[in-house]
This record gives sequence, C-alpha cells and structure tokens, in this order.
Amino acid sequence: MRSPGKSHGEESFLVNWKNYQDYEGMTKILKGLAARFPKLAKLYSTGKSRMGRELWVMEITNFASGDTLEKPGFYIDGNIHGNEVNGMMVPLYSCWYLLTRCGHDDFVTDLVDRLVFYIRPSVNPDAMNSFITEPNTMHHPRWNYRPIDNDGDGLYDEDPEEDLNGDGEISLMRKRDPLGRWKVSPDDPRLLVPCKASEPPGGWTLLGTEGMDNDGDGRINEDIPGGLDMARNFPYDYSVQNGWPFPISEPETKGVIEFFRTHPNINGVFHYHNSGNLIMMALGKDARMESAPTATGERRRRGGPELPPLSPEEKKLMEGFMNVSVEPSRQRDLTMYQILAARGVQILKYRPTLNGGAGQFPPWTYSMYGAPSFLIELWGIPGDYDGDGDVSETEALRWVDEELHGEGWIPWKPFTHPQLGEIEIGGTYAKFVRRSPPARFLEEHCLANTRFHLYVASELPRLELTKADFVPICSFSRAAKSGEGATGELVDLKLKEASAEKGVIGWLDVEIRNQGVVPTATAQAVTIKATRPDRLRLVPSSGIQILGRSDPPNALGWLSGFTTESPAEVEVGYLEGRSSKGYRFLVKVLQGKAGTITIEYNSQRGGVLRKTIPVRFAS
Amino acid sequence: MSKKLRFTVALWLATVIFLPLAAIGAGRVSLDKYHSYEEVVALVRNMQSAYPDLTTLLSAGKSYQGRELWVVQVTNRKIGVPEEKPAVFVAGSLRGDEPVGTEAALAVIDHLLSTYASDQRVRQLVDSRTFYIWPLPNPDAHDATVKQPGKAEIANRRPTDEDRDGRFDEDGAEDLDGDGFVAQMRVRDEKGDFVPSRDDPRVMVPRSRRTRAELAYRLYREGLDSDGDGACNEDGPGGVLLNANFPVGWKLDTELPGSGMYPGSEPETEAMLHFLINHPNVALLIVYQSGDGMLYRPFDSMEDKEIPRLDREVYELFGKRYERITGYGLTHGYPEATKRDTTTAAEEEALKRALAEELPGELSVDDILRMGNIRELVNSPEARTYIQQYGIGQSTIDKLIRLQELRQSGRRATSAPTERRRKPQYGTLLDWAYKDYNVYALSPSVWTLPAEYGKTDTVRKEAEETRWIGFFQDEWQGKGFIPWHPYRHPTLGDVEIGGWVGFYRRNPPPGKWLEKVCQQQAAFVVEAAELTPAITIASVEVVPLQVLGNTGQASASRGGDGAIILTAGKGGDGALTLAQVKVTVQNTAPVGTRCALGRRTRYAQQPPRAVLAYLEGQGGALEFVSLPKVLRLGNLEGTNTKELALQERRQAEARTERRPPSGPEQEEETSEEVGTEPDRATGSWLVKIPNTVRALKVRAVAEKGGVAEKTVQLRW
Repeated sequence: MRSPGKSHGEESFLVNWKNYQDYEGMTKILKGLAARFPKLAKLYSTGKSRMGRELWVMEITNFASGDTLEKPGFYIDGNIHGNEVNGMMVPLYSCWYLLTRCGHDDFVTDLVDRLVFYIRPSVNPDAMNSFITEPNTMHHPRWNYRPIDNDGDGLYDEDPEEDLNGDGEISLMRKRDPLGRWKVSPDDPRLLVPCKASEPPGGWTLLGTEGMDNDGDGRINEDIPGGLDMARNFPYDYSVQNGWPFPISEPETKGVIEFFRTHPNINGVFHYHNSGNLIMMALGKDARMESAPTATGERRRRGGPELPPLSPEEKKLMEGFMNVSVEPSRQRDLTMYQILAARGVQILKYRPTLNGGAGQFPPWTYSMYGAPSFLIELWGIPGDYDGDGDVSETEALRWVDEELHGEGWIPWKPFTHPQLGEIEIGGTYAKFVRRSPPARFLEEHCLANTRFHLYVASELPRLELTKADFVPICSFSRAAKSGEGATGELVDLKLKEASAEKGVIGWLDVEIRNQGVVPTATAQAVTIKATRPDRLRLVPSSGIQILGRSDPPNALGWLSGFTTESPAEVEVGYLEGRSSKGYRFLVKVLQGKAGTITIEYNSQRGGVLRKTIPVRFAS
Repeated sequence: MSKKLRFTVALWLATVIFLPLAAIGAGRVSLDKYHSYEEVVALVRNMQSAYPDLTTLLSAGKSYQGRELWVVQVTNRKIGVPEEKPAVFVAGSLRGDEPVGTEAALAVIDHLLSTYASDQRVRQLVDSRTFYIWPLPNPDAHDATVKQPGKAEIANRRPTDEDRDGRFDEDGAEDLDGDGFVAQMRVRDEKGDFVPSRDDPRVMVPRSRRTRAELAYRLYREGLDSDGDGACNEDGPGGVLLNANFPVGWKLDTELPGSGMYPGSEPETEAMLHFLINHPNVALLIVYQSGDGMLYRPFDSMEDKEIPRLDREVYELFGKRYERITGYGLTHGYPEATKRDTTTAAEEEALKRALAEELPGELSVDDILRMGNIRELVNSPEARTYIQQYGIGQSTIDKLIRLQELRQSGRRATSAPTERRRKPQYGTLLDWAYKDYNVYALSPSVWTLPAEYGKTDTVRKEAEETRWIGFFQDEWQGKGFIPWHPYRHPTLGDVEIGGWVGFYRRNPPPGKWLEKVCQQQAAFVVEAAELTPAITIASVEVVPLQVLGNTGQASASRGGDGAIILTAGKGGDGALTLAQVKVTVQNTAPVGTRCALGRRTRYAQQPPRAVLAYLEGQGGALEFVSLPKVLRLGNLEGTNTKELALQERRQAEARTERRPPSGPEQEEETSEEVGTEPDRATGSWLVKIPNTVRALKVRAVAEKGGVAEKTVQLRW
C-alpha cells in the first residue's frame, strides 16, 4: 500500500543530499546507482574531458518496456560552468530520485516506463572538481582547461589566484591608503563601498582577488588557468569574439553535440546554471519580450493558453513572459512554453524569460535541433526583508547572520603580502552562499527543481489510441479475385474470376491523441525539418485488406480526401500538444479467418504507439 | 643533372616503401594521370625520404572512412623551429571531384623540394618559412573519383538521409547504359525547365518564358528511383559538402543541403580547424578549387564592404602576381549588391515584418503566398470567409500582393539564362580563415576552358558550352560530353541519356594541360609566400643612465616641512649599471604581421598575440626595474601597407578629434610608440645590469612574422 507517510524507496540507496560532491563523489553515486538498478539505468561516457575525466551520461528508462530510441527522450545537464556546482547536484539528485522512487511512486514509475532520460550531471567535470576541492572564489574556475594566454605574453595560465593566508578561500585584498576611493559602509562595517565623486577619500584601496604577481608583469591574477566559455561554443548565433576558436572546439562540447546526433528522439532539454532564479526558454533570437502587451499580442492572448491558477505573486512573475512576441509560425511553441513555465513559477517562484542565442547550448537545441529547451538559473540569495524585490548587500549579510549564524562571510584579516606589503584579506562570501545554496539547503533546492523538470517530462508527448471503431458498410459473399479495368463510354465490369469468399467491408475509424503539452515536433523542428514526419501505419494480418483511406467524416458523415494509393500508411506530420488526428480506413475482412489489425503510430520524438486489435466474426 | 640523380638514388634507397614507378619521372611528379590516395601517400613518403631535412609528414587525423589526413611540412629544419616561422598553408580542393587541387598541392611540394638546391628564391623561402601542404582534404571522395572519374563524388562519405525517410544513401545515381559514366537524362515534359539550345541542340539551356511548351525537357542525373519514392537519385552515398561545413556563414542543412549537422562536424573539417588553430604561425592560406580560372579572395558569404580597405590592397597585391602568372585576375564570390537589390530586399523585409504583425497566428506569410496568386485568391469564397472571420483589412491584402510581386520579379531576375551571376557560398574555408582565423586567404580556381578555346562568354553561355564539347573532342578523346542516346527507363519511360559528365569540366586532361596548371600554381605559391611577414631587429640601443654600487640601496622619506629627504646607501663600486635598453623591431616583408580585420576583432578570452620582445643577460641575470619584462610591441605593417596604414591612422585621428571614440574598434593596448613608420615599433626596458653580464640578447617573436634575435656585446 502506497502512502504519503511512508518511505518511497530512499533507503535502497542512501545518499546525504546536504553535501556537495566532487568528481569522485559524483562518479561514485552514478556507478552505485547503475549497479543497484541495472534494469533501469546505464552509465556510459561520451568521451574524456581535457584533463582526462569521464564525461558521464546516465540513461534511465525501464529497459524492459521497449526500444529506448522509440521512446521520447528527455535530456538534462548542468555545470557547463565549473563553478556552478548546484547545476551538477540537481541532475545528479534527479538520477537518484527517479531510480529510488521507481516502483514506489506511480508518477515516477510511469515516467520511467514511457520515457528515456539522458542525464549528464556535469558538462565540465575538471573545473567542477577544482571548484569543490580547491580554494576558489564563487566565480572561478568557470571555464574548461584549454590552456589560454589571457594576457598575451606568450605564457599560458602562469598567473593564477592564490589562497595566501591558507584559510581555504580566495577572497579580496585591500590596503590602507589615505587617497583610496573605497570606504567602510555606514550600514555594515564589514562592507566596503566606493566613494562618490563628491566625497573625500575613504581610506581604502581594493587590490582585486587574493593572489600574487607570479609572472612579474606588474599585474595580479591576469592569466588564471583555462580556458574558454563553453556556453559560447555552440553553433547557434556563435561569435568568434566570445566563442574562440570555433564552434564545438572542445572535447566536452563535442561529446554533448554528438550525443544529439545519435539520439534523435530527444524532445526536451534542461540545462542548469546559476544564479538568478530564472526559467529561461529558447525561442530563437528574434523573439522579443515586450514591455507591454502589443495589440497583436493581446489578440493572440485572448485565444492563448489556459494556465493553472496563479497567486498574485506568481502572476507578476509570469507577466513578462506572457508579453513575448515571436514570429507567427512559432507561436505554438511559445504557447507550449507558457503552459510549462506556469508550473515552474508555481513550484520554484522563478521568473520565466527568454534565452537568446550567443553560442549557448539551449538556443542550439531549440533553433538547430528543434527540442523544447530550458536554461535554469538556479538560486538567488534569499533575504528580501523589505520586500522591494531585491536583496541588498546588507540584507544578504543579515540573511547570512540569521540563517547561517554568520558562516559564509569571510571577515577582513591582516596579512603581510610579499609584493604589496601590509594588507587585509577577506571581505567576501565563501563559495557556497551567493551563487549556490549552502549545503543545508541543497536537498530542498534539488527536490524543487527536480519536481519542475519532471513535470515538464510528464508533458512530453503521450500517444494514445483514442478511437479504433469499425463501421460496417456491407457484407459480401462473392468477390472479384481479379477484375479488369476498362475505360470508355460504357464500362463493362466483368468479374474475370470470381471467388467464393465471404466477408464484410467497412470503415475503420482511427484516432490518435497526444495527451502531452509538448508536440511530437515543435514548430521549429518542423521548419528546420529536424524530425522525420510522423507516420501512421496499419498492418493487417492475412485475410484483412486495407483498400482505401480518407480523412475522418464530418458531422454529416461527409468524407473527403479518399485515396487508394498506399492506403495503409499515411504521413501525419506531427501532433500538436493536447490534440488528436483521425483517419478512416476502408477495410475488407474475410470470413472464416480470425485476424488482427496492428495500428502503429511512429514518431521520432513522440514515441511509437503499437496496438493490435483482434478481429473476428461472431460464431 | 646531379639533382635528378640524387633524387633517383634516394628513391631506390627507400626500399621500405612501395612506389608505382610510373608516378615518378625526371625527378618530378608525373602528371600523365591523376593519383589515387595510395599513390599520393607513396609520393609524399618518397619525397620525405629524398629530402629528409626539408620534409616532415604530419597526420592531422583520419577521414570518415579512416584514411589518414596527411600534412606535408616543408621547411629547412636545420634553421629555426618550424612552428616559429611564418607559415603558408596550402590545401587541395575540399570537393572530391576536383583532384586537380591535389595535383596542384603536390606540385607545390615537388617544386619547393626539387628546386631548393638550384633556385636562390626557393631556398631562401624554405629556410625562412614553413609550408604546411594538405594535398587530400577529402581523401575518401577523392579516391572514389580518381578510380572512377565517370562517377565522381563531391561530398565526404558520412551516410546522410537526404530525403528524410529513415534510410541512408539508398537512392544514388547509376550508370544505366553501362558506358562507365554517370551523365544526364533528359525527358520531354511540358513543365520542364530546359530546352535544347537553338545554336547547338546538344546543349541544354534553361527555358525562357517564351519557349513553346512542347520543346521543353526535364533534366535528371542518370539513375533510377531505387527506393520507389517517386524521385530519382535524391539520397546518394555521402555526405557532407566539406566546403559548406566551416563556421563562418554556416547554415543549417535545411537551408543549405549538405552543410552537415554543425560547423566542423566532419572528421575532415574538424581536423583542419584543429590543425590551423594549433599552428598559429600560419600567415597565408591557399585552398584550391576549380571552375573559372580566377583567384578568389573572401568573402564568399558576406558583402565586400566588410573587408577593411587595407586588406583589400593586400589582396590586390596577391592578385597582381596571380594575374602575371596565369592571366586570370582577382575576384570574390559574394555578388555585389546592386542598388535595386538592396532597396527591394529592404522593402520585402519591411512588408514581411508588417504582415507578421497583421496576420492571425495560424498562417505564416510564406504559407499564404504559397497558396497561389493572391490577386485571384482573394475572390474565392474560402478566402472571403477567412478574411471576414479574422477581420483582415484591404491594406494587409495589398501588402501581400506587393510582396508576392516583389518575390516573383526577384526570381525572374536571378534565373534569366543570359546572366551569369556570382553566387554567395556559405560555410567556406576561405571565409573562416580570413574572418575568424584572421589570415589572408586565397582560393585559386585553377581550371577553366583554356583561353585558346575562346573567351568566357557571359552573354551567350551556350556558345561556351559548344566550345567545351570541342575541347573534349580535341583533348580528352571525347570524354566529358556524351551524345544523347535513347534509353528505356523503368519509371520515367523513354528518356535520352547523355550530356555532361561533371568530372571533365572541373579537371584538366592529364599531360600538358595538367602540367601547365601545376606549374602556374607552384610558381604562384612561391610568389605569394614571399609576401608573408618577416620581422627583424632593426636596432638595440643601450643607454647607461647611472653606474650603481651593488649595495647602493637608496631610501627616501618626508621631512616635517614636506621636503623629500633622501638617504644614499654605501657603494659606488660599479658592480651594477642602471640602463635603458631600447629595441626597434621591423617587418621587412610587404604584408603586415596581422590582417587589418583581425586587428579589429576583440577576443574575450585569448587576445591575438602581438609582437613580443624579450631581453636576457648573458653571464648574469638582469634586474628589471620597469615592468612588464615582456614587451608587447603591437602589430607591424609591411613595406607595402605602411603608407596606407599611415593615411588611415591620420584619418582616424582626425575623426577622433571631432567625436569621442567608441568601443569595439579600438586598437589593442600596447607599449608601441605610434610613429611615422608603422612597419617598425620601438620599446624599452629599464634594467640594472650587473658587470658580470657580457652581452645582452634581445629576442622578438611575432605570431605570424617569425622570430628575430640580436645579441649586443657589452664592454665594461
């Protein structure tokens, strides 16, 4: 008996989710899950990172319930920026959530049966591991480890940041200076604020992040290790200025893009970053967020999607995204995003917005691969005590004081710098506060985000055979085995050879419905021909013949589009979200033989539906 | 001919390698046939064993079918480091059906090696520059083509589902009549787009609107509808068009068939991109193609105005040399926009935008235009219902009619048979090399109908076609054009097979014609390579400022009255000298150390390397008083570009005086002194020199201009 009050399988693989994992920890969890759930999970690598770490992908589905490439695929990754480690924890948690709950939770079991999940917790495992295991600021290391000569002096990565005072953190350096343009904040003595032009000098100079001038060029930390921004390395709206040297130049991005070549069934993409509490959706770089509804936007909205009931706060978050304008041919993709995002707003209280282009990954998966694509900017420090919609520096510090008992703020401490003399080091947040949640909040953070992306997964195409009705026309007892066609003014229809077969001729009305919000092909996928058109095919057993096909009859029984050319197979194209398509087949069934008709709807990204209907005569 | 003898001996010594003897004659690559992959590999291996000091074989990766992607490095390895010398990159054609590009690339290697000993100019180049020669950019298709020229292949061998039916490569062209050639098929069809030319009925020309329908033909490539989908040859073997697979201007497969899944998606193109990025010393890129004899410069995919004036001048410099050698001039692929084109395009764009706003969401503008003639359509009852239901105004309908007219007139203009227009090409190596890799890039189109057979006729194209047939008869045993002959086709019925066989128009006949092409191209590479940048150290000046003691630490403090109070240390034994060392680096070649377009580009992560200068003491370590130790001297113009650069600089200064500077086009920050000689740059160090130092060594490194060193002896 399932009960909300009981365990849902968590004890079958216990993980402490209030703890960030490094590469080793992540690998251990993935390998452990694959070993514990061999019927539901496979772990494989799509190549090696620049430093030789495996680029893990975990494939999760019920392998017993059909060919995985015949199920709609749902792809989740994160942590393309090494410092965005909650972007790795959310997909990792999601693997665990799906596998441990499968069989204990009907919602999860259904997803694992119908869909295939491809989960890549870390796109950038090298930088992720450095971020977790070494002293760093919250912003670095962000890139991969392609050696790059940032300062153009012919040497590579020779001037990194250093944890000079050995406190395990990279923070800021300041020096007393009678002419310095920084002063102690009047609101909180821990903060430094810049002096206004009209103010006298504040007594402090900021010297940048903690470190030395290692290469003797008079500058500090100007050629840190790595790399390039892999979130600018994808081909859509690519520019060499930000994505040098060329699209997909890195082993990590190559592993990602080639995965999409071999998995044409993917119909949903989640890509985790931090921070900012945003749900970003890729809709092509020409999509615009209008400040106010335009006349046409308003008109479209009247016929627009029905959203779940939203609180006033949620409505406000949703408002901007309801005023998006997009080329009319992609309007249905916008509608789909609006419905899906509304649930995200309810669960996460994040703001939905557009994800433009600029060589990022989700704009590629939408515009050049055609899948619904989400970029989530996870986490933003809570603590908007005055409710003005913004967390000020003093509010953030108050939150750290109250919720973390001060843990997470690095106070200024004196230090004798070999090159700068007497300075102070500190004055920043520790790594896991502002851009990613402190470990104690990590589990609920992962759970909320998993709930949202699993909701989206649940809205992937769900094909159902909503009608397979037989409407008899007549029965027959003598049929032409082969007739001779003739043309002319008077056509003499002679049965060349008559058979004594008996049977029934009638219409078989077939209707297929997509119960999901996500179509079997987005408008963009149709435009760029990213998918094979969906096909509906009837396979009769011997004794049953498909003679013709037409569109379904209208209310008055009127038929149109009757054809006898390859009647058993029809190119449907695609099914929109929550929509159906029907066809009427002219079927001849011979008496005396029990038979079947197999109805097969084959969609590259909507899955394959196969239903076999027995046909027999009453005895 | 001792050179010939040496080559032959070396050849026989290289016993490990099998070499078809026919491929070698008189110490040179024989050009009486096109070489297959195995033969090319054998040739370059032999060149390497014959000239081991000058030749290195590098593998850049493997092709789709696993053939090695060979790069032949030619430079004198005894002088300097190959990766530090300015380099010229030469590639054969990216199209598999143009093996002439491979032969031209081999001829370059052959020329550099075999004349190294005898030709002073070549020796100087092979000593000072590095040549990376990539004879087989598309080895799989090249090999298929050379083995069966009548069935030449263009794209690489990646199986591709062109007709999106779930099956790969299932409907290719076939040689139906078994004559060894995949030619064309013509079928009478009132709706066909072609008619036989009035002057020469063998030649099919696009049909004009006045032609009578019963004369019209439809043209196909020779072959069957192998997959029974109603279309012939729509999903052949392969592949991706490699010269549409580079990042600049790259378009999705739906817009540009054969462009690949993403830029650099193919093993062949990916290997080339990585090779070039890993060899930043490349200063000039040459990639062969075939078609009209001209020398192509960028852009293929962008308007000409995107090229800075200075770079255009440099391209002219290459163009003049090419013209002197081949008789053909410089051109570029992207068509010049006429005034009419741009105004029409702007109007079309405006109409489209307005209509997108005005029309209800269900139908796109394109959907509606596809329905037929709007003027007639609006009167149909269905349209009336629709117009009423959605409240579409007359102005919207007028806009639709106008847009349809504009589009139709545009289509007529481009398909007019008498007008040969240049066509934009997207995703080419040429554009990437210049725009994103920032080197001068050239693509000689090495072969066209020889001038002896008449001039290219842009007005009456069919006259030129007839002359091609004549050329094939005179020089290529009638191959290249098959006389039309009847054939019973299983699905198309009675057809005629005949017409052009692609390979023969793109490649010269082996023998004298191929030799001529190869000689000219090898001569051009030598001339072009001489233009590439080369830096020298023009002067090193040491200005002693003060002799110091080795304990001569001074200190300063403030007195109560604000005076500066200095305390001198002991010393004065002359163990250290405070000196300014001043270096001037000069580019002595005609072309600058970086193209002007590259200097404009701002890179977020990796700034392009300027000319760097290093100073080192011999006999003791220098103490640097000024920082940085590594001087960044900026980019240097060449002797041919400095005047123009100076002019532009003065104009730019005049402009900035008038209005404040704006962001992206600023020059990068350097310690260069902007003088009146843009081909030179001076920088200086302030150093303490111990008296143990016997000499100062200055080393200058330019990413694309080589390395220069100068040692100055010190006497104490």
